[in-house]
Amino acid sequence: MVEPVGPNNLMEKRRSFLDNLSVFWYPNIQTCVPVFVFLAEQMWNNPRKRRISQRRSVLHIVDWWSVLFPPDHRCWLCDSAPVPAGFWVSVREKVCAACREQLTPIVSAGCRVCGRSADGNSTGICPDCARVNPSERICNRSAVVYSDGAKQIIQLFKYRGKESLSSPLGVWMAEVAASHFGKQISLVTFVPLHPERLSERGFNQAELLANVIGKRLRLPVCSLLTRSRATLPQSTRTRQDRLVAMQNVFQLSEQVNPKRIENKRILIVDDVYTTGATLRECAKSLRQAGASHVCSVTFAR
Amino acid sequence: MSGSVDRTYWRKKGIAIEPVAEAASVGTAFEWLGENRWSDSPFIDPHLRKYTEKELGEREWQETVQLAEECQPVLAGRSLLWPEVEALLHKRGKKVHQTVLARVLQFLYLQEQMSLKPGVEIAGPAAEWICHRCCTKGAGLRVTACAMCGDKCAVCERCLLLGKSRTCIPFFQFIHPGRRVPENGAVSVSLSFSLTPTQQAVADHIVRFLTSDHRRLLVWAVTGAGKTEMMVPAISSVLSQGGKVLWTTPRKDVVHELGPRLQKIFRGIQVRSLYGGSPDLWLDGPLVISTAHQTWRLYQDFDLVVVDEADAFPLYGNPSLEAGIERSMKQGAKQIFLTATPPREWKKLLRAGILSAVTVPVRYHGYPLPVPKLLREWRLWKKLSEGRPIPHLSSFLRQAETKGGQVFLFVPRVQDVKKVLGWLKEQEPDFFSRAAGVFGQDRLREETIRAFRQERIQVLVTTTILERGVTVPRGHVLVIGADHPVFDRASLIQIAGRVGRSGEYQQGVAWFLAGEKTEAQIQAKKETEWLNQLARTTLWKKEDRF
Repeated sequence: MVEPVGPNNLMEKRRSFLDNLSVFWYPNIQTCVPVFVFLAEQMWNNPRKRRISQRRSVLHIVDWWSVLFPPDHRCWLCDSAPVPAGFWVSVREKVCAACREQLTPIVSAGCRVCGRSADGNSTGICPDCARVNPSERICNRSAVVYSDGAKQIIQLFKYRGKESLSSPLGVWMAEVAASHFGKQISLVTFVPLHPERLSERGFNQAELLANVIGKRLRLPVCSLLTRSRATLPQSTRTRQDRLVAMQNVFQLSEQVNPKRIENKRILIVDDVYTTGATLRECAKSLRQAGASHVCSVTFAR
Repeated sequence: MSGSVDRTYWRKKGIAIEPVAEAASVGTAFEWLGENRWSDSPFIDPHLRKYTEKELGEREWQETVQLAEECQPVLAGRSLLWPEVEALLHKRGKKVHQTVLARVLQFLYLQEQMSLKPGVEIAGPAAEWICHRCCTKGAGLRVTACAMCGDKCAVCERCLLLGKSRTCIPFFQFIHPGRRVPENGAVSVSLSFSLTPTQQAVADHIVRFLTSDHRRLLVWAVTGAGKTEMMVPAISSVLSQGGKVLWTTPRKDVVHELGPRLQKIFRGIQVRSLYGGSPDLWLDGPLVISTAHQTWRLYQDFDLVVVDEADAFPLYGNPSLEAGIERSMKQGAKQIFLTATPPREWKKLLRAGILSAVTVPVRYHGYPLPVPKLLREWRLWKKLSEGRPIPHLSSFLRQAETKGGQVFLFVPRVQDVKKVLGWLKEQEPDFFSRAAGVFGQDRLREETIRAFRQERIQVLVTTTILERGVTVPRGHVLVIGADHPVFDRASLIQIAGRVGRSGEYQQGVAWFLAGEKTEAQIQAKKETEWLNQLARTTLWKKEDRF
């Protein structure tokens, strides 16, 4: 705003820190080796830098100060308060207190089919799932309750298009999937979008989540299904309409070799589970194609 | 964007043109241009499909020209992405089909009435990629697979909330064709009260600044000095010359509050307030109040820009927002910064004489600023969470009650709001029944604040969100944990400035309760004392009231 604003305060602090450091540490070759290893690791661990470095030369991009003294890790969802960092820290710990208050993680599933959160002492199957034909049921697990806070996050991710949210949400869902389905899964797939909707939105939110989950669980991610007709957004319908509208919408993609999914255990990824109609339809076509076991994971329930 | 318009336009000038290549998106086209593919030899893309766009017929051409002439005044002075152009035209009642819009925009481009860029330009090393819409460089731009253009392209995550800016989305800057005709000869100003001599002197100074050759002016006015009122003469003088004024601030609450206030002062003029989701969005007027983010949608349109709360988050130290404000100004336009707490860098510039400034150390009613009292409490947070007695806190509440005032309790973090409310429940149950908490993401935020203003709530526990803007006449302030780093000097001065806003009630106090004294607290106290001293020496304060 005003021309010479002077050096950034933070920068100044860091610089003075390095000045003090150089009294004790004079860079020679032996001591530089671990530093370079550290730098390489840092670059490899930072997904943003890695992505850029795949595309262009590395040396131009890296801000060496922030590599030497990485800034605090921020809340994964709202980017405000500092949070603990590290690969082994659960996503729930990497979310700031304000966000954590808005989201209610589903700790124990109240319904063993759809995975809705336990309210009171109800165990077994919830009335909604009991109505469904047992052969059509799909075992679903979700990370959080579909509350207002979760709705806002989904909104930001899906409609506003903040694609970077796919990593926290995906990692969170991967944790849930790993704890419930464990080693049962051999393949990850996602709910497809109609091509028209896809070109309008620019990305398929379920695909982004599935990619993150696949990477985290070290499982292959395949696009198995296609949507044969464009349906109105599910969020604009009532429960009964949703159940009817989804019939026979999904087919097995023509490019997929049916042998690939025969007797496989498949995990379907979606962002929200409301009535489960979408996921059941997907499961139906996968089962018809010969999948032995189909389960699903969503972010919100 | 539209080859047929291009062909027709150049044929009318007597030049025949041939397509050399077809790019999937504007971003790709700019990348090719950057590579200078066509510098020496005319290289024709072998993949160029059979080019289908023929010349326009005479009727279609006339229609395009007419529509472009209609759209031009609506679009002028704005910088917009393609979807925003559609939204703007839709709001103004012009439904234009995509292909027709492409023709119109192509025509405007050929007429040199706008400039065209991709939303995010990725040329050269990644540190030099830039989002043209929000002027962000490097970090914050991510390359993702895009189904819109069918390729990988970059997206800007900084300005996401105003709509996505991508490499494959074109970004237009519509140039203003020249000076507006002075349409409003005299502006009727109705102030409900007259300015004090101090305010009048400052207002005159600001009006003089408008005709001087300085570009920027810093108005350093203490909290409660009546900044808005002092700006009125300057604004009305610009408006009466047919100019446009932009009042911008980083805070949405301020826009909410200021819109009706200014509308009341400038009766005969349409005041537009722009913020995310406002009904005035996409409308035009001579006096515009906007959040700093909305300035990204404006382009060289204003003669005077007033930056309110210029040192507040997220504006200060944010080069992209500053660039946005800069971009909204006409060449040779004036800029006025309003603040109660200029940052250290500005003070340095001020002392060096680089930045011209006017200081107002006295409030509109002439009483001195409340000097904060620094208190220490051993193991403050432990006592709070365990519900053990804290004598300072209790005595503060008692004295506020006996003086018949309302209480702000400021806490550093969101989770502390609950902690303090829990302590009140434990230790001061009679205050707890009249207390409420508020924080940034709170759903009941507006409602709670309204209840506090109507005095239905006596004690308000809040985070720093209320440090600016919200005022009650009979306020008392206690900062709990003033040694936390979120309370810097500026923030503490603003908080202490909530006290004594009304001339009738001067018993309010500002206390800082902390585990230890910090530099911020000491500096805040020092600066307040210094300003009071300055007011006394310059004799702007009324003698009998000191």
